[in-house]
Amino acid sequence: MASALRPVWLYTPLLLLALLWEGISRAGVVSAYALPPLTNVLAAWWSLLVDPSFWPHVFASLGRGAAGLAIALVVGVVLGVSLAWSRAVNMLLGPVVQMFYPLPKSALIPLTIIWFGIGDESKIFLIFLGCLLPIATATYNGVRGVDRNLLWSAASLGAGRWSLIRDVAFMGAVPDILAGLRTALAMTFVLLVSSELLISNEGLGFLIRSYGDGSQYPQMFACSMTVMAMGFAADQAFRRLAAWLLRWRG
Amino acid sequence: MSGTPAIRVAGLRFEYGEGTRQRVLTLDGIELSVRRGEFISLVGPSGCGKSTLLYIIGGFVPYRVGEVVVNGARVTGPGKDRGVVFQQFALFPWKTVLQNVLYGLEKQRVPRAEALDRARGLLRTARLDGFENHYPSQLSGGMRQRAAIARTLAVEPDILLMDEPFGALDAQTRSVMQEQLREIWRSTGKTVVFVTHDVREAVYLSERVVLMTKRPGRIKEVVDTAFPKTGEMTADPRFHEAVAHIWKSVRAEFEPGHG
Repeated sequence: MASALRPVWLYTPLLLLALLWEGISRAGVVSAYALPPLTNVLAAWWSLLVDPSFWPHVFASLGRGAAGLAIALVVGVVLGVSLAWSRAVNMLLGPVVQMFYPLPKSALIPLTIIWFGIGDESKIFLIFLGCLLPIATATYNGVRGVDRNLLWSAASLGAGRWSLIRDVAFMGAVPDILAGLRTALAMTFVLLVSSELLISNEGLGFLIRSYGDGSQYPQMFACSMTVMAMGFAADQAFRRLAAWLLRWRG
Repeated sequence: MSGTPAIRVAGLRFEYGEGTRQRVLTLDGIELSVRRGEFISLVGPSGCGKSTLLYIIGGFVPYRVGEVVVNGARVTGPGKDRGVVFQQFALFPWKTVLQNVLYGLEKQRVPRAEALDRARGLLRTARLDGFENHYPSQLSGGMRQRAAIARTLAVEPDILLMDEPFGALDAQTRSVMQEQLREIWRSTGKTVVFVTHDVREAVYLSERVVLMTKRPGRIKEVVDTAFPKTGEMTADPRFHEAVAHIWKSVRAEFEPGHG
């Protein structure tokens, strides 16, 4: 296979899916109401993209996602390192973390609204909660897996307790932290839309629900596609960042 | 100061998993004194605790029974007076060669310009100039170990603790590294404790070879190997006698029913 053709082959399944969608809808296999033809959705998407009142919703969602994820990254790394490093912290918080891990965070949406209202705070808090444990557990595993000899080497070179934690335990856990962060990144978009869907007055989730309620299905699909495109772009950007950060791996 | 030994171990007894049901007596009744500037090797069957003894001297593994004294002070933790070199190099993989060598100097708060000077000098001696900005993953095993030794030497420890440092290298690289280590030892007068399972290596490098029994590790005998040496391929009968004698003694530890 010529390497120049690789991108083409890579996206062939997507193209086939698009054709199938268009065909099924046009042929009337399902009602155009339930599944509007892809071309109609793309047209609706275009008119949204050129509509200035659409973008504040995109930025509202992006801002909430970024804030929730950023807080989760900081707190999750600190929590994960502490759990791995300190037996006392592990005894105190370990069981709590294990209990909360399997809980679907979307089950907490009503509660976050009672606590924080329907604005940004409840969404940011939910995303923070959902992203916290994947990052904390990945960090924990990463620190636990750090080569003992690296810690010993650093200690014999004069590293004190904080240097050991920062220079060796944390740095050694970076590959795992990045893996956890990627999971959390996907989780961000899931929780973002679900929290905005339920109760909100702006954001892409809010738009999806509004268009759905108003039976404007091409627009509704277009908003979902916007979320998908954002998620895809974020993941691609993340993969590049991770490859650069891990350039020391042979 | 020159009168006190560099390292003195007395009545050391060590159990792995102390306080648990799976505890294993690893070292028992260890008595050892290492002169300042001496090169000694620890040899013995796998699992005899020679590496554990090295790590206890390094201050990495806490002990309760007995006494381990380095430069007149009881060992309670790692210190920059004792540099370590591991079989798997233990370079920080996320740091470049230069950053690795600089690490200890940064921790000692050596001024930047001086630290860079020293690190570059060490890398030149280790014939790693031109590889300063490579990551360890981009180097061969021999180059990694030279970088690791340079990193250890950077903070100028007077004792080198080496745990099978050449065990992961091919035969040719290994023999070149042995030459270089002898040269470092001769020119710096550092005290070296060298763990190996290679008897020829032990005899060639060291002035005394400490032979340990199988678990629980005790010191079985100490062989004087301080005669002048020209190389591992020497025809000197003293070399071959020492190797044969130590081999026989180590092999006896594997025989069933013995010890």
